[in-house]
Amino acid sequence: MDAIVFYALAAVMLACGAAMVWLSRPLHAAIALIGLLISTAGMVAWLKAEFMALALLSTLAGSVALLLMLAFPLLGRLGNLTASRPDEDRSFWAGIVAVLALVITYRLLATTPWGLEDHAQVALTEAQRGLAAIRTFGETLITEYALALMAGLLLVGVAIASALAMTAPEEDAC
Amino acid sequence: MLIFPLQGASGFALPIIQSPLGLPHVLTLAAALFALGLFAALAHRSFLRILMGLQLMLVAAMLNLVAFTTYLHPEGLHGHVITLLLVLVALAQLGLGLALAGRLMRTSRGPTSDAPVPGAEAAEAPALQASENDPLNVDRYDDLRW
Repeated sequence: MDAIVFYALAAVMLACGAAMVWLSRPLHAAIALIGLLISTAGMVAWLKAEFMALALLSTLAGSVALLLMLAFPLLGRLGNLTASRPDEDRSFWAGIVAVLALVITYRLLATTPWGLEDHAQVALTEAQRGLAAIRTFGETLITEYALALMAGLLLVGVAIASALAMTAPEEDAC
Repeated sequence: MLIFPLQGASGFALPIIQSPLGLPHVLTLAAALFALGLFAALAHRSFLRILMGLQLMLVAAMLNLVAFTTYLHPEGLHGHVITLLLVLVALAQLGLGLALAGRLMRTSRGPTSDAPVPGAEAAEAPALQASENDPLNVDRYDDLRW
């Protein structure tokens, strides 16, 4: 059963990723992005990290869906994303670089002795179960990673301020 | 599948797909997603498509972090915390992407653009010939024209 769920989720993720890359309409690509994020949350839940799956669903997939609803007319007006100058087509070299990256990564994965290889052997510790997981997560976040959290929140704040400045009327933008 | 043709080559002696389901499978999936995102970011000139490629690479990184935490360091949740920080980065990227799209829509000529501002007709022609150095000039991106 574990294998069926894994391969089904992996197929959905790869299909959504490929659709995101190759679909021409931006609206369709954005819908594929939502599908990718939802299937990623499913995969994270399969990895026994249900809290992170919920966080992914509620923040990332939710925000993409919300942005998509707000930007629906905008995405419809942006036209075709794949039409570009044929003399500047970089698909061939980009494909070579991507395939090389995949082959090198696969070689590293295949030749590394990971030790624990069976998903059935994964046993959750007390810290990873239920409410204890959330407590451990929160404690880790606000103690060991407090500085990184502040930096991340600052980044989001700067991004929001920049977005507001960019979308403000011309006389207010500068 | 993709992995079978690689079995004969030296260095690919361990066929991941035939091993028990576990960490290498998740990492292979993440590598495939990362390669897709890399292709999208390199091949396309549309900023929306590049942002989506970066998003794909971020998702692959998140998957790797969660898998490493689950399989190799189940005693701590450090990978999950770093994943949450990556989610923050992705959110900032999404917000900026949407703002850029809105800005492009405003500075570009479109058949369904908003009602003209009074007195804007005279300034319309110079505004449409925006500088080539302006990253928000829609004329630099052929694929955003209509």
